[in-house]
Amino acid sequence: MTAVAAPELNAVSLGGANRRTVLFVHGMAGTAGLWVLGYAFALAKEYHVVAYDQRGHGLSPAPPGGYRLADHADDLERVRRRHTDGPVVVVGYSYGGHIATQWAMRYPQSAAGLVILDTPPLPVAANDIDAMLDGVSAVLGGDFSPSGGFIDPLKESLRGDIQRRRRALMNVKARLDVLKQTRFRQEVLSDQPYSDAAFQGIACKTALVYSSRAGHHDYARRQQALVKDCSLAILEGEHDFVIQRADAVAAALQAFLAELPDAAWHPAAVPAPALFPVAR
Amino acid sequence: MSITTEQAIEAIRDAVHQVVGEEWAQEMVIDGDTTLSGGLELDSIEIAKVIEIMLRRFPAVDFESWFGQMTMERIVGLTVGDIAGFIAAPITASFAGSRPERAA
Repeated sequence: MTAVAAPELNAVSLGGANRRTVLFVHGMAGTAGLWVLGYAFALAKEYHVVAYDQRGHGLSPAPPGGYRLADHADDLERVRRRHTDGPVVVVGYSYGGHIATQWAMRYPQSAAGLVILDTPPLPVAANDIDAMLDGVSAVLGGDFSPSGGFIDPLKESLRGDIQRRRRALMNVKARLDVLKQTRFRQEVLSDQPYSDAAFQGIACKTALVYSSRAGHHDYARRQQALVKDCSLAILEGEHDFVIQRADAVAAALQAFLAELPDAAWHPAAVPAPALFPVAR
Repeated sequence: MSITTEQAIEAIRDAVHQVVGEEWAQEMVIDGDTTLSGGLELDSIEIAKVIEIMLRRFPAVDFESWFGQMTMERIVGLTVGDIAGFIAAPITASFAGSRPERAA
């Protein structure tokens, strides 16, 4: 078996690297852009903020495989190690929340805290992925009929705005077309729900922030019941509340960071070595 | 060290070309009135990369405080002239209370 080199992922970092680090993980078909422009600057006076594009997304390369949550979690850990030696708070939105959760399970020594934003339960539905992979072409043609968990927020943000953002949309379509040539779809669909024991193994302080109208509240409550130190807040809005209600989401994030004990950021305070080490 | 608005626009032009790297961008007219999202049609990650390049290029400019006061909608709606003006403003200047004093 030939070892495949990990792709060098695009990341944007703001604020001094000597500060405590907050790391953002975008959702499926998203990019780091939203997190840099919508959240990072407000945090960067106090924190070192990093947002990166997952493999196959944004300005990162799209290798043929490596799209399972474990691969993404390893990518996230590599990004962390590239930017800091210490533990970090990871903020994961939607599918990015699964990556953040998997990472906290695999690399407990690296996790100072976890913020999960509106992440739906696993497994991902095939029709949601298909609607995303094929839906942008339809939307570009003015057909807003494709519907699914990943295309709906994108679609709503684009309605009435197609012409002005045609190039940006073409970029999204080009990236999705590349992703369709990879094992992305089959590997995403192969990831199964986390067991109760896996959630119980999360050692860091965790905040769940869910939108009031996207649903998934039962899943959120299950996580809250299983993760040792876990809070749940439900904010008014749809799944795109990270855009439409960015102030409220940012306030919840700031509150979490303010309440995080100093010990959480200290490498000595975190549990045993990683079970799944990755090369730097 | 000071920089003129025109020099700052040139720096932004270079950053856009570096990020987009397309013939399209080379042919694009980028002047003070060009907006990042509407005029240049950059998507959010491209705008973020352009800003990151400017941060590295002008470490004394306190972009973080300036952008930190803005919504995402406001940032993507900035013109090249807005950003160049901020870079080129005198070090001790502050405009209308919205522009923080720049560290040396």
